[in-house]
Amino acid sequence: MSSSSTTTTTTRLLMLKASDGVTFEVEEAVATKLGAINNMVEEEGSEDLICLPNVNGKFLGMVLEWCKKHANNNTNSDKGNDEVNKWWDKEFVMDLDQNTLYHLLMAADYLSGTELVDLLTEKVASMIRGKKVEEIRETFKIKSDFLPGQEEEIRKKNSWAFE
Amino acid sequence: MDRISGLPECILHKILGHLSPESIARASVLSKSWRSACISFPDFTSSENHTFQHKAFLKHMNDDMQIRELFISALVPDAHTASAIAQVISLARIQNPSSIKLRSLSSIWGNSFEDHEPLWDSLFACSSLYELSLKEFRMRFSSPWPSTSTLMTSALRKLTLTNVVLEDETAMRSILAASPLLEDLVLVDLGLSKLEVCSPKLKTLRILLTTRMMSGIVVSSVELEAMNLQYLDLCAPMSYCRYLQHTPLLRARAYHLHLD
Repeated sequence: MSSSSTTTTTTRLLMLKASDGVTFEVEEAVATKLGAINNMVEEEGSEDLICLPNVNGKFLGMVLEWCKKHANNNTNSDKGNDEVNKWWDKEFVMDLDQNTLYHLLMAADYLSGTELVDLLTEKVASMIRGKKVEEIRETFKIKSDFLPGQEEEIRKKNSWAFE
Repeated sequence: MDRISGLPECILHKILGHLSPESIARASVLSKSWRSACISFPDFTSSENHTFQHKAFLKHMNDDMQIRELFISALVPDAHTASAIAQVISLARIQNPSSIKLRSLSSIWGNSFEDHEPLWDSLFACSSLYELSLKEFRMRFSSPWPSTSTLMTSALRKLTLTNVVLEDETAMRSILAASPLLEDLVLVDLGLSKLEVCSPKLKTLRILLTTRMMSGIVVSSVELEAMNLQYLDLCAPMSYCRYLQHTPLLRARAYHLHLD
């Protein structure tokens, strides 16, 4: 806040500490894309170091990468930027494996990154949409844990969806 | 390894939120955790369009099976959603359901009495109901409180209210008056300071109070007029029981008081 009193945006830096001790230094405007951090900043005010014991450094890094992209592009609300953001999001989720998806979702949900959760859940949904049950099981390596006959019974009840 | 199935149910719900009813039905046979998430999926939170699709689904069910039991577990954040659920109940009513269980996944503290009001007309018009269970609602009947013609729960035998906040005694009195055959009444953390139970056929009454509820709104006085009562179960912290009063009419055969 010292020298930049002429600019409208504050460039306060926050330190985020992940569960494995890895720390990230990010601008407040970036970190507050996450609802949880925004709340902490508003409540505590002066605290610059925020510990996040539930998020591993690797995934916190990815979450912050997303935040940075979206915080930057939000400042100048251009229509072209919307497209750039969409394209960037598509790339971001393109090759995520199941394990990464899981940890990112857990991290984004814990940090209340609503938009990011939305992006990631849509990614998972796209892997389910229009597929047969066997194909979905194959994609996610899901093993059926129903009792014999139980699955057939549920299928019969919902036969309209399996036609 | 299958990690996705291990996601918390609230996140699985968000995934289901991007899917069509057909895809959700398919996801429900993947495994037990997906089935559980699909069952508890609050699908009324989304657009009108989605509700419409749900109507189509109900209609499909009507073709080949009777709805005997209706269980709706949904986020009810506003009056609009409550109206959508009321519509579904109205559709189901034609099938003469014997049991309706309605669970709101929204906290009652975010809602006003007005938000939940649209539900009660459609619900209490279900004259076939044998069992009714409500969880996390604020209940008020539009004033002046309904005549017996709008409350038609005359077959009701079992009523369970969990975390239901009543605006005043009239709602409770109206329901009991409209349900003369009621035998089993369960009240868990009822939000009503003065409880009057006047129910001639009532056999079992359970009142459970936990400390997690707000002070001042929980039941502090109970008046019973139930000559056929056989079992009374009061489970409440000592601090509440001090205020409980019983009328001499009470002749319960089994009488349980749990004091912390």
